[in-house]
Amino acid sequence: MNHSDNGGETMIDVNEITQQMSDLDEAALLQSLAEVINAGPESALAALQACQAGLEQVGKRFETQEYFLSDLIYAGELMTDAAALLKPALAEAGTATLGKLVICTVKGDIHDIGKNIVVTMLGAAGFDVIDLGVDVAPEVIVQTAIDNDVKIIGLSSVLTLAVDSIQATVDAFVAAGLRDQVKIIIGGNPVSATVCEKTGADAWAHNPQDGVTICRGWAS
Amino acid sequence: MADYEFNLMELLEELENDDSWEPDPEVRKAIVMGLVGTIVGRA
Amino acid sequence: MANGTLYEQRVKNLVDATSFREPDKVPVGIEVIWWPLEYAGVKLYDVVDDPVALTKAYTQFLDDIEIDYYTMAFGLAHPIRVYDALGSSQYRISDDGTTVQHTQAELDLMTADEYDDLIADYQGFMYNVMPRRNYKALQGSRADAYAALKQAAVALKTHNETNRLLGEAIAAKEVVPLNPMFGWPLAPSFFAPFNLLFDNLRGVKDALIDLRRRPEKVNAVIDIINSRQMPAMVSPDDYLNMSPIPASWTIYHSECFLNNQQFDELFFQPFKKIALPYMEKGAKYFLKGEGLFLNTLDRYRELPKGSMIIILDQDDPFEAYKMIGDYHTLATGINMDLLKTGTKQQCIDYVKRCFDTFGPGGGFIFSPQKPLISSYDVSVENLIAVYEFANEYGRK
Repeated sequence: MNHSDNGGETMIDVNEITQQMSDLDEAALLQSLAEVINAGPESALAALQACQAGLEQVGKRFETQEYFLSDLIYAGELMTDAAALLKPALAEAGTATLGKLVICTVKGDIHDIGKNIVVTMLGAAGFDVIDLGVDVAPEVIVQTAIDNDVKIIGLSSVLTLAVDSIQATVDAFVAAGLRDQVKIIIGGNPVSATVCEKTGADAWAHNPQDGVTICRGWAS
Repeated sequence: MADYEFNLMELLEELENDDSWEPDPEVRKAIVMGLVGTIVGRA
Repeated sequence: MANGTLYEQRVKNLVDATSFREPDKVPVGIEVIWWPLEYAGVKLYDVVDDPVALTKAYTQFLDDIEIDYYTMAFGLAHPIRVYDALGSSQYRISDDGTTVQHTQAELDLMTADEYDDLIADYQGFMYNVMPRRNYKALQGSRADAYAALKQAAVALKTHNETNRLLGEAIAAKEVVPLNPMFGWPLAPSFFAPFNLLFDNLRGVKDALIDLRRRPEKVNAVIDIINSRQMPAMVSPDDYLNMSPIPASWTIYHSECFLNNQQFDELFFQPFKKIALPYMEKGAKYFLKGEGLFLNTLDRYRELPKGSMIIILDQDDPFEAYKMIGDYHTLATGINMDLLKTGTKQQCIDYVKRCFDTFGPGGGFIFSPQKPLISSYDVSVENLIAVYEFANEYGRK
């Protein structure tokens, strides 16, 4: 009833894996994944997708305030570990990602805690994240996007003085003739609907779950 | 690299007894205590 | 017109407002960090070694913005020259020349494997291993380390002198500092021991994951920290005789990240144990947090009515008021988004709405929802208009 049909491979209980991820039950999840590794590439892919489904449930439980940021961060860590565990078995199956995404803290701002949380969660959600670090100049962000054919840009900030850097980064994409080819999301303390509108970004978020949801929506 | 065993309190004790940077022993004591808080945090 | 000096009137208004009595004037306060230097048109490094010049620049805004009280102690939080002397990479000055940024990004944090070392020799790890790891000037020879410490000591003396002068300046304006003995609240303040792991030793992400993966290690460290706490300076019975404003402090760092169970175990129960005996004698505790913490506010109904003064941050104050405004004082009144990008009238309308909603019956003091950190934080025109309005509209 709960088993995936893997065309000849040992069947795995995907719903159970989803629930274990959703419940943040690391011990049970790792045991399930250990059994999956030997089952073959299709099973590994099904397990990865089950984990991602569980991560989406975590997001919903965060939105209803059953879970909080510490739970979200832990879920991101579990997902990262699960993906690493399954990676050798996935090689044959091939995995589709949600695509590439560039993220950084903008020029003049060296805070990175919020950004790092979002990086983990975006990676866990299936993005190939290019993390440029902190204090990143607009031209570096634009060039990285060009070099890696990136369509989603995440800009993080903590200080209000970074708002001008957000503006400069958006302007740099305009100047490069790329503005309508990328989506830009801004996050951090000083951002708001007003700042988003003023700087010309496409979206804004204060909490990491909202940011991931928005990026996932753009990718699909 | 240092070739000795670093001991912060030992260094600060010496600093507290060193009047070359501050003549008043009570001021030296208070500053050294403040330095501990700044360096070590809220340990 | 109230009797007594302006200071005494302000104290009475604060006591009334935080005791659910309508004051003669709603107390108006502010918290500033580096912004005052920008207001004065001065760069930090131009004045940091001159306490008199720094004080003059830092207090210039008080000529244009009237305040009744000051949140915390009025002074510079970070002794930047001490960090320069020690070669710390935690603090960096921004492009505006005044804002000092603090980051965990460049800290060499404790690894998970090192918990046992920390637990086995807490003093050694905290006083020797971590400082040498994170302060470049302590990594060389003994002579070099000593020279750096001496330079840091001289820098700290200058920093302390600056803060002494800043304290005098604010006192000369008869502003009530809500930390009556500078740096040492009379009732014990509370800062959750877990925050040492969160802020300094493991960092945000790993400390939170440690709560799940190695809770016994985390608890062992917390037990050690608790065992090292100094006894309270005064007993609850003696407390009220020692200050007209019986205020102490607690601050959220990790608390805005924790789930309900973690919040209860790591913060609320230990806080209650320490604070309650003083609250029962009339002490009031400021709660200051960074981020969203509306979900924690209903817990404070377990404490005596009026014993908390909650300084809101990102949360909607109108939602907070619905949750707890009848029971504890809210310190709020204007958000930074409006101060920065709103029109003057939008700011005034918002402030008026706050006064009209939170003011009746007391339980409200005015405070911007975030400290003024850097040059870009606010439109000065808006700020001055808001304070002019708040100071006038709040009078009976």
